[in-house]
Formats: sequence, structure tokens, C-alpha cells
Amino acid sequence: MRTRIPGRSEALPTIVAAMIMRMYWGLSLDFQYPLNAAWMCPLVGLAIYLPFAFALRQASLIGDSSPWENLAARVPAPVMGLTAAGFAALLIYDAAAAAGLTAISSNILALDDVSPLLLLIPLALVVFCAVRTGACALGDSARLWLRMLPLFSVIILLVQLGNYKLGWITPILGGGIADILSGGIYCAGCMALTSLLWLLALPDRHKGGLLPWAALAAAVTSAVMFSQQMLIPTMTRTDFTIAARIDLILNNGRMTLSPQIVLDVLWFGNMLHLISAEVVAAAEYLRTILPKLPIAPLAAACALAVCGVSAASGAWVKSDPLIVLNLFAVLGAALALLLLTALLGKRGARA
Amino acid sequence: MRQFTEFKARCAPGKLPGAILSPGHSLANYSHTDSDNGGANLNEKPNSDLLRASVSARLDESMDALRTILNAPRNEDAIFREYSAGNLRVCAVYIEGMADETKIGEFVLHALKAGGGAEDGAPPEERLRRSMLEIAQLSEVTEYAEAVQMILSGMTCLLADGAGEALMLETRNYPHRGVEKPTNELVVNGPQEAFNEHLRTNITLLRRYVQSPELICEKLYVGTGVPTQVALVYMRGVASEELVAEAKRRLMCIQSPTVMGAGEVQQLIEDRPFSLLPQMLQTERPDRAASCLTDGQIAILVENSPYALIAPATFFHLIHASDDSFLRWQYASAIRIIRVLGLLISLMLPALYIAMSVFHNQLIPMALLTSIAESRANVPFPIVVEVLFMEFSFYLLNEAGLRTPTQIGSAFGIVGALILGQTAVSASVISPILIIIIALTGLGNYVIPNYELGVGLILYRLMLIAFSAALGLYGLMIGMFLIVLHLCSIRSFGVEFFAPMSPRRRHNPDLLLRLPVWMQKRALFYAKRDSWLHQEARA
Repeated sequence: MRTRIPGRSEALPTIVAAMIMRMYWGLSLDFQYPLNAAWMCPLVGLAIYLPFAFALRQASLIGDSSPWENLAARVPAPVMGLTAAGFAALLIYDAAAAAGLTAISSNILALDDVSPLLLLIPLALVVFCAVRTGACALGDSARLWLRMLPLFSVIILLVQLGNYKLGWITPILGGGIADILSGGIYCAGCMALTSLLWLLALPDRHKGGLLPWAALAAAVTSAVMFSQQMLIPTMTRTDFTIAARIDLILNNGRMTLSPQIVLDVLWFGNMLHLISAEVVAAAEYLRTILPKLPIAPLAAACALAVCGVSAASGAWVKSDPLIVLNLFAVLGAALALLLLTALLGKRGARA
Repeated sequence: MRQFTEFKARCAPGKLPGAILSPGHSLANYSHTDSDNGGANLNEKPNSDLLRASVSARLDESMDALRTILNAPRNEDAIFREYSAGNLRVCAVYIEGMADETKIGEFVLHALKAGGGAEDGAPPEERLRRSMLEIAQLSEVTEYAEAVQMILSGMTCLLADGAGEALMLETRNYPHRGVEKPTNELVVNGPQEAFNEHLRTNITLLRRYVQSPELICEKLYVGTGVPTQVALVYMRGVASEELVAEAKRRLMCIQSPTVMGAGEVQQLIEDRPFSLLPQMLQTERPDRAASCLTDGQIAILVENSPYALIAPATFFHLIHASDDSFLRWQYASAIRIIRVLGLLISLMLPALYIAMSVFHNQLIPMALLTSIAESRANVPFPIVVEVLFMEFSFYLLNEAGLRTPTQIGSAFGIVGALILGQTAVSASVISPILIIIIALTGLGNYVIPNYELGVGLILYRLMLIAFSAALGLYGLMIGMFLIVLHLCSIRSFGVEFFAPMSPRRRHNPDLLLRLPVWMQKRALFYAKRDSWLHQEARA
């Protein structure tokens, strides 16, 4: 069965689930400079993301098809091809980072005798199946998962109700306004990366745009960070490894282990959806360059790419904060350039 | 509704429709060559030339032709009763045991004798039809193939000398099981009737529940070698025309030489035959089938099968039971929640037990952990071996209980409890807590109202056991993710498996919770938009 181009109503839950998780693990594990104020970063990121969302909307308005098709009708093919390749590479890289984190976290939780490299093999299977089944099925799966998230969240909240300490939120500004802004840019980059699937989504029953749902994702992430901050005091140590940070999150900080199973389910469920979302988006972009490529080899190639990139860094692939900080700029610039070319091209046609 | 893209691939383009016979088609029309098979001639059916021939006006020729086709007199069931009504020579041809000989005697032969003298210059078949025969249903056929098919179904063929047609008289009356109680879909409140193997009876049962002129029943034949009659039932103006057309197309694409029941039809026409879960609903209850028809689904009834196939069928159709509609909404909702929890327990409990006992001990409360450790102290096998052993034993008992005669079937309960349960624990083959795990798992499986879904979940459970035994919670989550992803990619006649929850489609508040009946007013998403049935309900 070939991968089908998703409609907007199918791409939306995939993007929202991926956005939430990407921002969450980025702020928890990758970019910790905001410290106590990390919960503000998704909201700041949303504000920074607004121009990108606007550009996405403009790209969807200049034609009747998906934003990517609308742009492709006006922008020279080599430019589109290079952009698609760039997007695919970024998505694969980020998926590889997420895969590496997933392998490490499973290593920490239970499989400490197993090499994290071997733990990438099941993820290769996940990636292969996700690309094979397609973006539409992934969207339906993400929608089901998002419906279950409130239930899990309520369980965690109720179990931990007596353990929240508001004092651990202070100082309110954490590492300072500059770090909050940097964190916001980081989050905007995460949102921009995960919303690349929207460019490929075809218009369907969903009449609204992506922005309200991106705002929801930012609000949810902010709430999760806020509650986490009240449970786990900020560590200012600079020698804290990622493994130690994952251990802190999944073992619930200093708190009781009773909700850990729910936390583990949330962690792995979200990570699998994030990895699948990014790889499926990368596969769809590759298909715009190589439309005749059969799905099975493409799925296998994506699986190998994700696991290969992840393993190449010894399964400790961590999305370099510098890369992610620049991610928003890179993606925003790419989209702006495409849009500008499309609009100029349209004007050129009129002349 | 999405395009039915998946099924297209199984019906090769250019291939003529398979063994479909509507009343106007001929059995002999399978005279096509299979171009994919190197031009091999598929017409290996005996007497195919004779089958394609038209009924002769000469009685002797027609009788000889039918004798050849029906292999009479070697085939002693085929009866040829010649008769003279005045100067009209006729011959009644029927299969003994399939046709009602009393009806033949009284309403055909006796009627012929009574009306035999009058001659008004009309053709013989016209005279017979209009004034001589007293049978209720009567039709004409011109080819031997149609005539033979109808004779084999229990009708009587009346040949008249000078008539270029054969008259087919409705005289079917063969032994069959009556309408009995359902055996697999039991309800507390609700009708206690089930389909049986007689197609006519099943259609009648549906008509009793849906007394509407818009209930359409189209009869078809499937099976290129030995045709089996199939009825496609739907409500015109409620079921989507695309759905009905697609169902017909899939039935026409069946190339199998024999189709012995509804189960085979389902496997031949469903979207993903390799998927573990069914994409059509099998029900033995006419009230359930009637409810599905009014919702806009189609029903396929197959001769000799006491089940109706309903399509499209989503996951929610498979977990709903008939008496959800008969109970008050509070009770029905509570029971549904129990059913869903049972399903989840059935699917995940053994895998979760393995994951937590082997990999995530810290998640088990200390008292329980100590108890588990003590109970397993003398068990020499790993937990996963225990679980697989108990799973296998449970389903061995289950299957044995199904196959044994009723008189000794109850003994299996005692065998299971005493030998497998108590003795295995005493012998330290398994731990006591595993008995509870497996018992809960089995109970969770039995609350699922659909048998196929229950068996599919067993297979998924084994997969999850393997994943969790290898990778703990990580493996369990990967397994669940793959299962959900696969199920989300399944379609049933173009309808997504988890619709209308995911993707979101218009529906009534009747998915997991069943809200009051008066709130169930909307036409469902797979029905025809603004159908006459639901417009009136809204009005």
C-alpha cells in the first residue's frame, strides 16, 4: 500500500503530538538554560512562531492544493528539490536524536545490560511500519493518542497532588530573560520543524489553520513543564548527563514511583509518535523529489537512516542546541524564500 | 467515504466478472478465457455447450437435454414426470427431496388435468401460465443453464411440447433447521431468534424487522464451479449507492469455484485478508442485522450460512452487543465500559505482568512483589514460559470444549480447574498469581461479543507477550503502537477502522458510552447524506 498524502485533518493530530513532545524533551533534556522559567519558553516560542504560521497560511492560500504543491507550481523545480532534501535531512536528524533518546531511556528504565545501539533495532521496525502505513494512518493513531493524554495526565496529577511545591518555580525568571528568549527561539524551532508536515497536507474538511492547534500544543507543553517544575527542583549542575536527566524525569524526581508506569507510557508513546511523525514527513518530502520510488525501499531507507545517524554518534545523538536554535531561522528563511519566489513568480507571470 | 482502492488490486482489470448470476444471466456465460493464464480455456464444466443452448420447442429434445445435464437416470434424484393435459404434452422435471411433491401433484398435475381441455389458440406456455397452473410463483426461462440452476435449487421445470420456453414453478420445500435461539450472541433482554441455513427464511426474518418497501434484496450467485446463492440486502435511500455498488462489484469479482458459506465470502471480499481483525461483522441475530440496515450498512446473506455479513464494520461495531440497545442507557454504558476494560485486560495484562515482573520490579508495591517472589520461588521456569504454557493450556481447553459432545463438555471445566489449575500450582509448574492473571485475561476475552475479534486479540496478545518479554515496557509500547498503527490503516469498504472516533466523522453518541435513544438522531457517516429515514427522525 502506498503512502497517501494526508489531509489537514490527518496531519493536524500528528503535528500537535509531535510538537508537544519535541518541545518537552527539548526543554527538559536539551536546552536547560531557562532553568525554573522553562515553562514560559513554549509561550514565548509561540509568539516567535507566528510569522512562520503566517507564512504557512499564505502558502496554502495561493492555490487550491497543499501549500507545497502551490509553491511547486510557481517555484523552479531545482529549488523545491533542494528545499525538500534539506527538510528531509533535518527531519531525519531530529528523528535520529529522538530515537537515540528513546534507546537511552529504555536502557535506563530496564534494559541496562543491553547496548543502546541494539535498542535502536525495534525503532527501525517502528520507522519502517510508520512509513509503510502512511501519514493518514499515523494521523488517526495520533488522534487516538491525543484523546488518551488527558486521562493519563489526570491520573498523574491526582496521584501527585500532594507533592507539588510552588516554591520550586521561583525564581520566576529562572536563568534570565535572555535565556527565556533563547528557549523561546528553541521552542519556535521545534514547532517549525514539526509543522513541516502541514506544507504537504491537502485541504479537506478541516477549515481552520494550524495556529490554534500550535497554540494548544504550546499551552499544554507549558502546563506540563510548570507541573514538572513543581515536582523536580531545577538542577544547575553543568555536568548532568542526559541519561541522568532522563532518569530524573522518568523516575519522577524525588517523588513516589507510583505514577511511574503512566509516565513511562506517556514518554514512550509520545516519543514513538514524534519519531514516526518526523520520519513520515521526511519520507513524504523525499517522495516529492523521487515520486516513483516504491514505498518499501523508501521505508527501509528511512529506517536505516534514522538508526544509522543515531548510532553514528554512539547512540548519544543529542540535537545540538546550536543547530536547534538556528533551526527556526533556517526553516523560517527557507519558507520565506519559497513564498517570496512563488509570489514574485506569480507577478512575473502576469507581466 | 474514501475510494475503495485496496480491493481493486485483487480484481484484475480486464477479467470478466466471476461467478455471478442474476436471474437474467446464464450459467453458461462463463465461456471466457483467462488471459492471465496463457489463454487457457476455463470452460471445463461438463455439458457447457448444452447449457448454453436454448430450450427446444420439442418436448423430447428438451427432456433429452435435461437428462444429459442432470445425469439422469444415473442420478436417481432427478425426476422426469411426463403428463398429458388434453392434447398438450408436458413434463415436470424436479429434484426429489428439494421440491414439494404435494404441491406438484395438487397445483400442477391436478390443475393441468382440470384445465386441460380448453384451447384458445394461445402458445402452450401462455395457456399454462394464464389458465391452467395454480401455482403462486412462476417464471419463464429460455436457456437450459438457468433452468438447471433453478431445478437444483428446488423449483420444478415444466416443459411443454411446442413451447420455446420452460416454466419454472416455485415448489421449493426441503428440510432445514427452524428459527432457533442464538447460540453465540446471547442477550438478556431482546429477541431470541437467530438466522438459520435457509436463505429464504433469513430474508423473511429481516423483512419482519424492516417492513419497508425500501428494503431491497438483490440475489446473486457466487462460485464459478458450484454456484451458491447470495442475497445483498440494503435500504434504498439510506445505504450509500457507492457502498452498494462496491459490494456488488466485490461479489462479482469472486473467482473461487466453490463458496461454501458466509465465512468464505467474507474472506474473499474483505479489504485486508491478512489482517488479524475482521473488517466485516458476522451476526446471527436478525435484529442486529436489521439495525445495521437502518444505519445505512449492507447485509450479505449466504445460502447454508446462519450468519449475515454486515459492512462496513468498524472497531466499534465489533465491540457493541445487541442488548446495548435494549437496556437503559445507564446500564448499557456501564456494561460497555466493562467490556472495553475487559478488552484491554485481555490484550495487555499478561504482557504487562511480564514487563513489570521481569524488568520493572520497582513499579510493583513491595507487599505484592514479595508475594510474587515467594510464590515463584519454587517455579523452575521463567515467567514468560509460565505465561505461554498457561495461555496454551487455556485455549487448548477452550478448543477442546468446543469440539467435544455436549454430554462430556462440562467435564472440561472440572479438568481445567483441577488439573491445570490446582495441580500445576502444587507441582510448582506455575505460580498461583499467574492463575489469576490468566483467568482475568480469559474473562476479558469472553466479554468481547464478537468471536473473530476475540480470536484476533489472542494473536495480538501473543505478539505483545513477545515484545514485553524482550524489552519490557518499552517493547510493550512499541507493540501497542504497531498494532494501533496497523489498525488505523485498515479500511472496511472504504471506512476507516476506528472511525468515527479517528478520523472524526459525524456520529451519534453511541461509541463507548451509549447515550439515550432519543439522542441518536443523526445519520451515520457511512449512510447516505440526508437519507429519508433520518430526515423524518429529525423532523
